[in-house]
Amino acid sequence: MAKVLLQKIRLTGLRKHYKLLMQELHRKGVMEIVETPELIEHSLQRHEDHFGVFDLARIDFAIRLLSPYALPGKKLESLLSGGKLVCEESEAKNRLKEFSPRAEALLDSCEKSEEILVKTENEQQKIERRRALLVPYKSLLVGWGSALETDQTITWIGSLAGSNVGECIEKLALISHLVDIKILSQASDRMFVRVTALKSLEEEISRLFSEYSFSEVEWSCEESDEEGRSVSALLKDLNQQEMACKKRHEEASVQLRGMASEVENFKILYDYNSWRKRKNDLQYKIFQSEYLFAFEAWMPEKAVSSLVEWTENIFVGEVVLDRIEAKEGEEAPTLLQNGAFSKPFEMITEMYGIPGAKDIDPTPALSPFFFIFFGLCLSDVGYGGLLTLIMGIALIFGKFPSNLRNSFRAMLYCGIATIIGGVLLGGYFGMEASKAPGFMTTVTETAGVSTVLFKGQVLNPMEGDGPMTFLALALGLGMIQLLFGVFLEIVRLWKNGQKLDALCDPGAWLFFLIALVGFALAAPLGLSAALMGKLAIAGAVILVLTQGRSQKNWFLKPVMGVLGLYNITAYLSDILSYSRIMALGLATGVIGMAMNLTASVLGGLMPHPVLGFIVAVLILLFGHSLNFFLSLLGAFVHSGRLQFIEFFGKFYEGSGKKFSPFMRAKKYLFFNSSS
Amino acid sequence: MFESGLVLTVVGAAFAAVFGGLGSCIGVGTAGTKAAGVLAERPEVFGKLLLITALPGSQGVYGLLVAILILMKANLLGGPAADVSFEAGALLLFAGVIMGLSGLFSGWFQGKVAAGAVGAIGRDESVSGKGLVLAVIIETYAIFGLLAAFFIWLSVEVGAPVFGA
Repeated sequence: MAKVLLQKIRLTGLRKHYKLLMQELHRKGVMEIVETPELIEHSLQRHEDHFGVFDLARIDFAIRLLSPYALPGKKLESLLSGGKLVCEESEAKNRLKEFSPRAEALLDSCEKSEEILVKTENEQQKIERRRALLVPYKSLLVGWGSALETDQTITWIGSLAGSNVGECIEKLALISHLVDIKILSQASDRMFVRVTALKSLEEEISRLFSEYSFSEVEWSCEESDEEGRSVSALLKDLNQQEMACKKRHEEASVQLRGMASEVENFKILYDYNSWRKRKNDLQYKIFQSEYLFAFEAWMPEKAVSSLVEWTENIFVGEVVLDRIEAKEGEEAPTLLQNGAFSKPFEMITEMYGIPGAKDIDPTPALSPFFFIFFGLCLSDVGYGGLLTLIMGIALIFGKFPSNLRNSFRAMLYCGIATIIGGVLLGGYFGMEASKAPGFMTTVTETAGVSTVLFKGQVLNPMEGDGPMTFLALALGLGMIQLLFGVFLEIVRLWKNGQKLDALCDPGAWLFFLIALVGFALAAPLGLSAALMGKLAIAGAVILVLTQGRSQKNWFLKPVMGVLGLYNITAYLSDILSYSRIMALGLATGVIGMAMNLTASVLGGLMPHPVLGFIVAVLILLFGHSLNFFLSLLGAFVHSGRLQFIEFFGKFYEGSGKKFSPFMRAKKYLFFNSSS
Repeated sequence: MFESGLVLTVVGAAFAAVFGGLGSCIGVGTAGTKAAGVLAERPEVFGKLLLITALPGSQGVYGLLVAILILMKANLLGGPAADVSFEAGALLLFAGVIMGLSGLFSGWFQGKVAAGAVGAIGRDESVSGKGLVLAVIIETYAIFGLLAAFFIWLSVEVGAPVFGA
């Protein structure tokens, strides 16, 4: 359980075996190779770079580009594998052999097609902009871009906007009968006009235009051969350009679609190349000379002897594995190992931080608490069943990497906890017990008042003593977890050899807190209040005497001791924080109930019963999905928070570094056989 | 006008729903805007951003919850309204105010923390758990508001519905 003991080792061997050894170690994935500057210093600089070969970014680009064109029939399959390619290792190898020689040309052609796509899309946008500019002036007879001034006259071409366009036109006409106004076209909020007048009127008309915010059209041509041509001719040209552009776009798409079947091969190529790159990068961490190589690594202590045997068998003494001591101040990476129940909850620990050298693994301690808290927060048989079902399907039919499977398994456990919580608190999609079908409920009668509860329900969080009992349960669980946290701090300090600290700090606190709880709950627990009171006072005295021990000044010691006692408020606020369990448990049920009520009321308002039924079902689907999602999120983050802040605060630092073995990371592949 | 506490009751329910919802709107809005910006550069972290962005959404839910509880107490969800005294109405109003204000402010500031966390996740995905925890700390106060409102609600007694009134 808990943290796996890691051993530092050194592998030394003949250089001719290097390649095979690395390949096998990479496949086994048992050790984390560390950089050893003292070794590297003497290494012969024989590093070779092959970055051209490992052009991962290009391959990744091709995969992303081609994926949307791939066969749509495999949606479900790709959903269940997280977009990975599921195959046998041997198959992947064969396909890689066949594909590698073609890859470079295909990559080139992908890039070219993509370039065309981008280019034609830009061109298309440009054409559309130009067309939008030209279309309103379609009925204009003058050639575009030709001179607007003659000796005697001047012409304006542009648009007027706003509600008082008519007014402007009228005023224009009033200036002189020698003003020629032609309305070219009209849009909803704009009028496109050509106005020609004698030059002598220029100033007056300009003033009028500025008053009515006339905007002149951009009367220039982008290409010189457009000049002087009519608008309709220009538009015809644009249409032709557009056709050509679309054709090129289509051709590029067709080409990409033709290559779509190669996506899988690109995926294989990506993963194999990323492994080669990983091995290549390693040479910077490894000492190499003409005939020898050497490197250091961390690996699980238990696996060392079998690896020693393996190297001896394969390399007959030409590769040697030694156990070595870690350097001063060097911290081993952390590998966690837990039982079947706790294993998935390592995800929660990792969210906060991996245990460091002086930490104990908190996973086994937090998993039952997380399980219970989550169950009480979500507390609905329906939602729990849904969660269990979804996760069950993903686990049985899905092909996911192990870390994702662990997360799913954690959520599966949480789903089961939710079902249990739902039974205990009577949550069934927010249904009220009094309205539930008879076979699900039992009626109990106490003092003439009959109450309806679900079968198996122990308390109703909404009525009578229910809320207080629920709150007491939440705070009680919190108290247990906090005391357990303090206990774990004793264990941790004891293990690290700080025995005095273990007894004086968490030890004294644990004694004091337990006595205090005993005093407060003396009556219900059947304890002697007087005895518990005396024990609590004794605990307080011990704390006052010990809390100031790190102070050098003898006068300050008792002062610090008394101040240390003030920490009790922190424990109080920690315990109160657990009331959120009750609040969240309540929220799931009441919101679910509100959704049911809304559905029945709005459904009942519909003019036809069938319509009413449909409306009610839609509201129920939407409402419960929303409640499911939000309550699930709330249950997860708050159950987690109680571990991280209240529980971990007592004993855990989480400053370690995760053991990350030299292994074949698969981004796009999933091998069926585990060979 | 205030002979019956019914008006106060409804104001209380409205207060809880409106201000709880407002807190969520501001919070989710703040976090969501930032998340949308980060998405443009790193679309692959969408799932993690969604969780953080949805966090300030809970205040609106708590507000709605208290509103429903209050309306339920006065039997305003169908059927004739209960006989709510002035005093009972005032108590229910205060329950709504407590929920509304704690929801408003906690949602508001949770949104700011969430936006910060979103930015951090944009740079380094591995901090998503820690960012989530930081944002969750603020939610405590909305939950305490909810609990306070709930216990006030629990203590309020109303008369049976007045028929024909």
